[in-house]
Amino acid sequence: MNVGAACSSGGTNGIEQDPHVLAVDDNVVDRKLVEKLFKNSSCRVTTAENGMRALEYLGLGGDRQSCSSCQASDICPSHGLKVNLVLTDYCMPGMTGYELLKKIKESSHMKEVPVVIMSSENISARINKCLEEGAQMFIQKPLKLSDVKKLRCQVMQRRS
Amino acid sequence: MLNVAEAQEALEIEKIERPDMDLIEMQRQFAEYSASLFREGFLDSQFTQLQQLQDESNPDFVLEVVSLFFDGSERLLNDLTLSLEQEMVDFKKVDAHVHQLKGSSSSIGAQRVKNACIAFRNCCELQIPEACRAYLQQVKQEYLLVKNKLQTLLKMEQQIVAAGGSIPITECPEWIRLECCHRPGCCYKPEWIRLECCYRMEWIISESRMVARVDHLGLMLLAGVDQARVLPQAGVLLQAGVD
Repeated sequence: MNVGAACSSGGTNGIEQDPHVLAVDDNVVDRKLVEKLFKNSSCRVTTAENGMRALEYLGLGGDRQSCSSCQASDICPSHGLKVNLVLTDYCMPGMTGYELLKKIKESSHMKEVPVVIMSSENISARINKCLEEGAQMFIQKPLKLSDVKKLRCQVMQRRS
Repeated sequence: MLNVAEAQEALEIEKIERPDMDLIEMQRQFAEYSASLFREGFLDSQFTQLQQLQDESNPDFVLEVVSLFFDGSERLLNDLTLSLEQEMVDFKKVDAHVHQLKGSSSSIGAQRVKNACIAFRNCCELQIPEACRAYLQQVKQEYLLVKNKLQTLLKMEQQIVAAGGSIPITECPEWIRLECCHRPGCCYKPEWIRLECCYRMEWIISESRMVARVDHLGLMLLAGVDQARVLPQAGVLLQAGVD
């Protein structure tokens, strides 16, 4: 049963806001899976199909950095919901997840947002590179419900 | 001996007394079919994840994801066929496509397609077009098989839902049957028996001095045990000695 028309989530107790996740993946099947995994875990989800779209959504390089509404609250009338977690695939055409991670960490107002990288390949050089660049975590695909619950916990802990 | 009319009447009476008999039968058939797909390696535990995610807020979730998988895969397979037909094959592009297909098949639990993609990718590194085309054929075959089976499974699911029933969820079994490369009908007193899971490439350890028989399907039956447990990276695999 869907509680709360505005949110794309199952809804929690309403005292704490459900975390808002931006999931970036070029594979449509994976985007659909990630979206459902997070919705079933009481999170709001926005998906993006590549790094450029993700950056646009985050308003990086644009006027979001200097927007006072964004700084003041979780919802900005011009820019929408604040993002509490970015989850991105590593292997994407154009901008890789690593490059997206770098751009986020280089920005002044988004660098505190945790970024988690997903990959189907377990390459330690890749993992280390991402962690060194500031990734919160590296998760192996395919994503499972237990992975998502863990992530939600971590995000909520950071917020409190 | 009942005649046809009496038999039909008996059946009708039974249906009235047990109106959900058909539903129970459908659920049983569904569970059996589902279990066979896991047993034969067509699906793995990731598919169970999908089924567990389906709920009232999105009762067609599995169907939607699977449909996306079908559409995407068919496009990728067409692109792959075209790419491999070129004079100068762009192996980087081929690899990228296979990577995509491997990813989506892994995400929905289409295990055999995923493994066929892994084998295909290994071949891509060698950059031999004919070999790649052969591997592509394998992938296509596995794709068509799983597509057919998923469509059957989902149809059975629809029938159950239409009859007002709930869908039994099958857990992916931990025990699977392994294929043995030895001749059927032989008895082995193995010190070393070679067992290979063609889908997982994991080895199992068999207890030494165990008597085993290879049945007519070429399946290894360890004495007293119907199926063998797969242990990851278990180490030695061995040669069989014929008794």
